[in-house]
Amino acid sequence: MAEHVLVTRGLTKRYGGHLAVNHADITIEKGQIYGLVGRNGAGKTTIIRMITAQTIPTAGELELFGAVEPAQLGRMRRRTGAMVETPSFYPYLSAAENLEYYRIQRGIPGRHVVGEALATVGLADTGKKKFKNFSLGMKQRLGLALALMNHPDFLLLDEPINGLDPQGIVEFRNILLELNRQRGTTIFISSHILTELANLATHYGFLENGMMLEQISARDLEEKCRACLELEVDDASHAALVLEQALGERDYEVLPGGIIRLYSSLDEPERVTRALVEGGVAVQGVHSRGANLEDYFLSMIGGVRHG
Amino acid sequence: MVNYIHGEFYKVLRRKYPYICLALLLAGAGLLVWGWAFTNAHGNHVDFAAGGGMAVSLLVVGLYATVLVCDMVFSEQYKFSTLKNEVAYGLPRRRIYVGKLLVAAAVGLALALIVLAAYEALCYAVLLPSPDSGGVIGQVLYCLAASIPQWLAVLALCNLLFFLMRSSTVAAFVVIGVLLVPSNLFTIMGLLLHPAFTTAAAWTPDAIVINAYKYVGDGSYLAVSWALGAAWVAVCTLLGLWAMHRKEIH
Repeated sequence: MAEHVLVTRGLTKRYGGHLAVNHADITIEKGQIYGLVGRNGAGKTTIIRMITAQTIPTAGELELFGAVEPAQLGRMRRRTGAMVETPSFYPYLSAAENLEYYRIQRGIPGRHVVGEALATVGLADTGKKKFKNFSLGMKQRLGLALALMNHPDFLLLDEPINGLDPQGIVEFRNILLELNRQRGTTIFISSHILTELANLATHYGFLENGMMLEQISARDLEEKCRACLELEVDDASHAALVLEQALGERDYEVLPGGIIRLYSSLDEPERVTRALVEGGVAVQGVHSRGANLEDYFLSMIGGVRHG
Repeated sequence: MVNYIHGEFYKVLRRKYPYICLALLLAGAGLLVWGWAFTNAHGNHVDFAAGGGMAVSLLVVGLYATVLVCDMVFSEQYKFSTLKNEVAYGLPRRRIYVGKLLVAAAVGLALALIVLAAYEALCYAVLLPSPDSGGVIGQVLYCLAASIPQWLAVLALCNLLFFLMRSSTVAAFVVIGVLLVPSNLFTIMGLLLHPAFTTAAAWTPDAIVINAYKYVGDGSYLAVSWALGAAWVAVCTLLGLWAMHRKEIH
């Protein structure tokens, strides 16, 4: 049986009348790269802030490496590395001094870990340059260095590629993939840059308005995002009826804006179009498509899936 | 806790802040002694008893300096959002709270002792000798012993307010207000309403420090000062730990 690194059950956070996270159930197993997908304000950061004890859940349970009691959770958090929101350090200290401060405070043995962490993220040559003089990309890298300094078993990253240049994004991705493959580090990464998540994640969780809509493996998602015929019609409900009654189709998806995705009869667009027209549906366009993570997410938050 | 305290010392000692404060305080002490020496050169007669003994009336500065010391150690954690790095790693919030208080106390006491020792040494070296140097030192030490618990009390209040308020500047103003307002208010109310307020005014931190020289050698005054100081520290710390327990960390 796979080892659970993180399990949340009914995790809820309410700020006054606003429900930021609504009964979120998340399960992350050892070795996974879990991408948390959601729009701005969906509750991604709040979930990470609850996992990292920055905010106390209103309700629900949090299990980290099997621990659920607060004192045990505290100890288990020392097996994690986190980068939440913008990286925050003391502006009057250099990169090495900032990391050395946290190394001492956390009781991590060996001064060499500071140099190793800085070298891993490409900041070994920053010398005495103060944090306040760092570029946004350098700050992001230092945030990752702090998260990596204790060789964590579980890495929590909240929008980690914000501010990185294209080369930095590639390097960042390679570091994470190497950690995952060579050290078996489990990674929980939230982002709204879905193309980047698609390059990394082995599993996804889709969050909307604080609610976890779906958790799915990258393999299953790939299966779901298979090729389709995308039909633009004037009346999607009527078109769906015609597809079912005239052609016997069951495997289709209705999206907002009069879009229907048909996952069968891919090589017979003329037959499908003719049936729709004969059924009284105005067909405005027919395209052959394969969905990606973005399409899937958009369909999750706005569409209805059948079949 | 030992690692946490070690880390805080590492950070504080790498700031310019404590060194600038120490330099300014030493410069102030040097200027004062130079003033005595200057007047002595022009016919005045300020000896070690007069100059060195002045230290007892300067101890009240320590109450206000606690704001600087607390700021030095707390290091604007909310402004720089660095508290999340500590909490996210699983460090208990009580350790963070008490650790900063202990380091602030140690740094504050060290600075106070260095400045006081330098001032007394300068007075001894520069001013005219006096027959009762030992007595003067004893008086200063007694007043210092009565002042330390009050300094710690105000430091505990500073720590509480720095943790509770997002702005260190506002927290500093509130501390100064707490120091100034009750003692003056009680004094006025004692004159206008009831003598009990006068008694209450005498046991506020600044009054205890200012009046300590009147009770040199009186063990009961020291005991009351330490008991009141300990009570302030305990109440402020318990309040702070309770408030920090569920506080949102950004």
